Amino acid sequence: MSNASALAKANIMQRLSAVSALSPKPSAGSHQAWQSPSHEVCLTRFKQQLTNAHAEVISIPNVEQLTGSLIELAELHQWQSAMLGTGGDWHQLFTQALTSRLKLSVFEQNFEQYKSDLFNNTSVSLTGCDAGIADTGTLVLKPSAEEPRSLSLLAPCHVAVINASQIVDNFALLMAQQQWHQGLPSNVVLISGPSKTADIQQTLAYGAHGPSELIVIVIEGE
Amino acid sequence: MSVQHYQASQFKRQASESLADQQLRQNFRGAMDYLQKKRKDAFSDEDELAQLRLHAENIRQRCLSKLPQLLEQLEQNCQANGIQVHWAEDTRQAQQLIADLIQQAGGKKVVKGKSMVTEEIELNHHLESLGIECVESDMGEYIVQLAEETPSHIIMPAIHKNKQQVADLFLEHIKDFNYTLSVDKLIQTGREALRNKFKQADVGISGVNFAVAETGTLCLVENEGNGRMTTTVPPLHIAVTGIEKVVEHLSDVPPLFSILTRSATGQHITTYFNMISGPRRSPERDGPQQVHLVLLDNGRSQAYADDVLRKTLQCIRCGACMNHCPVYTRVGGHAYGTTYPGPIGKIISPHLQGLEQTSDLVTASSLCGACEEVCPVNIPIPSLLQRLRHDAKMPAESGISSLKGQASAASFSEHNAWRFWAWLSTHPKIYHLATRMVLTLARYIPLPMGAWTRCRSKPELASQSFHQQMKQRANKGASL
Ligand code: SF4
Repeated sequence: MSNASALAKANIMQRLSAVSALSPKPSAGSHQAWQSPSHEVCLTRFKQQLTNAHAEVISIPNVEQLTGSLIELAELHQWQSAMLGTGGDWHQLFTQALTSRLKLSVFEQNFEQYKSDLFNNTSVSLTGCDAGIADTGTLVLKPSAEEPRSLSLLAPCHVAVINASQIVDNFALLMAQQQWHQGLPSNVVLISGPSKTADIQQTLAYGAHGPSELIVIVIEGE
Repeated sequence: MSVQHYQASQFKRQASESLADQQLRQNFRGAMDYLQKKRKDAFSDEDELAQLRLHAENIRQRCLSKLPQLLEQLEQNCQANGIQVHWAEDTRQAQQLIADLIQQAGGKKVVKGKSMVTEEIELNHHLESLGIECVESDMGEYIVQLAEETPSHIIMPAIHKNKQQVADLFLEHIKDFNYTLSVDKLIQTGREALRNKFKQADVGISGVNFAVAETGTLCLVENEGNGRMTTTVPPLHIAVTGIEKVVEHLSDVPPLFSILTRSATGQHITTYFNMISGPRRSPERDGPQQVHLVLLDNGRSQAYADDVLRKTLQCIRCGACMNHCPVYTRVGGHAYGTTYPGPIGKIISPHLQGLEQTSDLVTASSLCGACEEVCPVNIPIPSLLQRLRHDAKMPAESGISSLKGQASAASFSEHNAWRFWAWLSTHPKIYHLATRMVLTLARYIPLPMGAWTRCRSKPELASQSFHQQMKQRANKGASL
């Protein structure tokens, strides 16, 4: 911290600390986010909310169907090139499905090496998810060395795979279950649909800066 | 680039100009109707809303009550996470601090995510004067920057423009733009132009929606993905925020986030919620190498010092108060001449700029209460306005410290008129004589009566005063 900043801090703190701000009554108001009576309802809501937000949701009964449905998607969308991380739950299956069908790159060096490709020459990137939130139809990603942040951001299409068992009712519950207050990775990102904007005359348009397409593959059985 | 300049002190003139602009009024009317409906639909259960508002208000008040401790804790935890924390007391310090950070890293090209605090410190202007390019990447902000204007709304910066106006602007500024009124194509045009900027940028500057003390985490709320681009692609990320944005616990975030997006645009959640707890950590392969957090006071501690005005700092910048304000809807955002327009602007700007500049703003309200009714954290905006009106005219009461520009709008003639009135009211004989005189002379009061009769008819006085009528009644009663 520079001297100027340290001095600014001292002055600000002095002004704030001179005040005795009373704390409010401890028990006013409450917030109970949406809860599901059963896992089925939870799953239905998750898929419905994502669909409402313009994401494409594909349900498959088990993991054996994953490569098949990826191959179908690749053909349907005519993907030319894909980018994967170096690990994650589905890495092998992603590779198996796509390797002979399109140009497949793996994010094994630093971002700077792939920047240009990610910006201009990647049709799709694929990742897993850390969790899902049914209340709002949300994917929770904790990017890592195996699945970097930019995989869910730069390509025009992002495919995310999630197990139904990873989906919880609401955000607060997820934080509590996973003990987020103990510390967080450098980046956690909640994604609830493709990138969008209504900045021009309140008209909704997709693909503002992030992916214009979000495809979520839900594996319903284990 | 010189930005068209509106000033808070010129509110009256700017408001009349905006009122005369039919296109502008139509654009705002349409936008406000849209946003009001979206909000209403998002809160279908009134009880839930009432409980959630109380809860959100309570969280914000608790966090403010511990503000100094939470700021210390935030700084410690950010630093433990590798986020460098800096402090600035005012606009000038913040400008300089940020410019230094950029120049130390050899930065020349900056992309900005949406951030009202950097508007508040006129950062673009400052950086450009140092030869640093600074591009707004939020679609609305980008449009506003091309037009050399400032945002007219805190959530939807280009809300004052319709698609024709945007298309005309693109035609003028973007090479090879094929004229179109398709919003999809306009957005794609903006996307392409800005992707190049992201690719080249060596610095990303963003705001912060919630800074979590407990974990040293910066939370950013957005739909477009430009905030994520800004905080992911360039090697240096600088987040700038007001000192009031800190929350104590991570568990404070879900309720505030939920009521923020629903109040702002009626969305149950935004597309992205980006939680940053540090720069790229080895062996990670992407993310900025450096993350800095700049904490700005700029008058906030003045509001903090006062038990009543402190409530101003509960604000989570949802924009609902402006969306529901009959004044904002008619005059639009620019007329206010402040970074934050509308009701929230009227109560926060006096602390940022002083009452001298902003004394007209606090009077620009019918006190209808719509803002308070929709505010997700229950800020009593109308009563704060009344308090600020008082402070603009009168010296501070004993035991309460003066605000910047306290009593600057005091008027000698107004003061004397009230004193005369007070004297008159406490001298009944003279008072009755005076009212009788007014009644006899009423018919000679000229038309027009200045501003009063410009849009109202001249008030008709009763032929007898209330006292005369009562007296007559009493007489009649006695004679019966
Ligand atoms: S004052 Fe209330 S309604 Fe207005 S922007 Fe702030 S939180 Fe929203």
